[in-house]
Amino acid sequence: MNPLLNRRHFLQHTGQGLGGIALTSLLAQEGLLANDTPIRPKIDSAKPFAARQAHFPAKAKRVLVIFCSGACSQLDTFDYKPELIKRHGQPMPGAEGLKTFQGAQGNLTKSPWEFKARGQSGKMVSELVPQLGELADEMCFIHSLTGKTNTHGPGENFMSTGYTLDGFPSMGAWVTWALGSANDELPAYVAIPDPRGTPQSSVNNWGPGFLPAAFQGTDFNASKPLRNLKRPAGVSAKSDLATRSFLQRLNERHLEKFPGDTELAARISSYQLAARMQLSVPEVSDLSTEEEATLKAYGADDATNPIKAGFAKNCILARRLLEKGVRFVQLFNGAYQTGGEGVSNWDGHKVLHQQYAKHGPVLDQPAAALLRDLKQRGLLKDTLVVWCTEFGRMPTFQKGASGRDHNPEGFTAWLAGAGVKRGHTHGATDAFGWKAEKDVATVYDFHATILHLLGLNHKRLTYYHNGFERRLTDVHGHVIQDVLA
Amino acid sequence: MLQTSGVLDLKMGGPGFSGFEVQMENVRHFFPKKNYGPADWRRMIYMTKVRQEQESVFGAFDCPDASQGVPKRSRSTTPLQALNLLNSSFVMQQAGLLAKRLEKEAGPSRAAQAARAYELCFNRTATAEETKDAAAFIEAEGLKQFARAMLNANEFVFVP
Repeated sequence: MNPLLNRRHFLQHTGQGLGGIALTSLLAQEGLLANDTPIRPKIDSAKPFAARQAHFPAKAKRVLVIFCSGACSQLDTFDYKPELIKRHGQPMPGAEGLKTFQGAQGNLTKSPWEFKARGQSGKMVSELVPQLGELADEMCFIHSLTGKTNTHGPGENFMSTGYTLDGFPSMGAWVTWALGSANDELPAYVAIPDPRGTPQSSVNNWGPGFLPAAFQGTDFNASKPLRNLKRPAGVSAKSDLATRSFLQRLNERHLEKFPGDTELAARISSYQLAARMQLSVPEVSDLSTEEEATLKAYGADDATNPIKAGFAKNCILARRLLEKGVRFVQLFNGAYQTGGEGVSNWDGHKVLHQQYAKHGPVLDQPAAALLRDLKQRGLLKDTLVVWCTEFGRMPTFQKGASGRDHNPEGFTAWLAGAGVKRGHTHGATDAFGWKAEKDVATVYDFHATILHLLGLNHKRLTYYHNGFERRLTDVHGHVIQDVLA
Repeated sequence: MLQTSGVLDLKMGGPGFSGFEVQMENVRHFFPKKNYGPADWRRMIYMTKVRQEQESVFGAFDCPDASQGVPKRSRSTTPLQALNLLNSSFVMQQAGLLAKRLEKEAGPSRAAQAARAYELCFNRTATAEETKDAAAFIEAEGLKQFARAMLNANEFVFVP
């Protein structure tokens, strides 16, 4: 046979090929093909935070992420495992296969806190977080999350940026790059560090990575105000105002020489915006205008527990920012700066009972009050609340210690508010709460779902960098349809 | 800015300087320096770049994160940049140094101080109207506030 194509074969092959092209075109017209072409936000460098259209109509207009730094144990909070209670103190079958962080494991250990049925859904939530438990009917639990690392820094990175390595854009940066903000007098993306300090991978949790630097999170909290916001010490308000109007005159005379230069004009307006920010940021951070009942509801008046009071104030600040239209608020609970290994965070390796007994109350009342407050003010309708942590913990206690080791094989997060089912549970871990077993989900799926709720297609929200169309979800991720209302 | 205020150290080589105070823990924590001195007044190339950490004044000016290479610096104009240039202790200190320089080089005459500032900051002579406006402002608010405004001016920051 002649190895070259003969006429008959040529027509056969190309005919089929053409048919394929025609079919693709027809399917595309019908919208039946996945369209993964990038959608680039149109950004005016003079107004980088102007509100922009989502890819499709969205349920959620803004996001609040409550991030428990240190890996908050699913087994002591939201993932109820009767079998673990029953077999408390016994060796875990298959324990020799556990991938641990700090070494040998002891026996299966039930939570020091009891679980109780909550609300109409009857969701079992532990007494460590009773007030959050009361709100179980608002929440949509995902018990089957899986991560890629059992180390805190990379784990935080993975949850906040979709990559375990440093230097990738945070979820908040992606979202504000895509959508801008509804309020130009406040930063579009605010990260609120815990009163005890920053999380382990610190600013990478709200970094811009390779996205334009303007989309990094601005970090401040109720006790640490925004840097350089106040006029300098020793400059009176009157003198400050006079200096600004003199500067305005300098800039206007200069602009006359370059009429129509938008960058110069933008910089003039950035000073006007800065002046407005000097009023709006202290205003939004000034909790003295809150009613006493509100402060009390959040626990911001708790003189016996200053850390809880501090976190409560951060929770009120988060609500006020969301109320004013800030697109993305990341609220941290737990820090590394003032003590690793569970001292200031959820990393309960050695003395979990003692440490969680401190951390539970810091989180519980303030976060529950925040959720209730958002609901009461009607904000929960179009705000997505995300509770997450970098990974989970083991059903066993560590050998010779009274705490749990790291476990990315199965852990819990919950969503509440805009576009998600209420009082719903998705996925499950095995009998002991170690490994995700039912409807296993990845952090990529989790991210794809959050973007979907904001009207963003995670496959089309891409940024071309170093030869890749980069995404929050890398080359992975499926929207978890079951959690959508 | 350092060149204008007259404190730029042009010495080449040697160890760099840092924009941060460092606190050691499991991981390092970086806090923006509160006080700057002659050791920091060098060309920015000598500043230690801490990956991910944004320098407290100039970090907001689209400074890349530096965890990964970027082929092109993005450009934005934001109110945070304006706040940093207006209110940071670094810029206020430079404004004070520029004020001293103007006094030293131009003497007590407000008009001469204004004229010298235009030469130093904008690299040109001031018009009569500009000198008059500037001199009146210096008289009312002092040289340091005048220097602060000049260091924030578009003509100083931008080459259109």
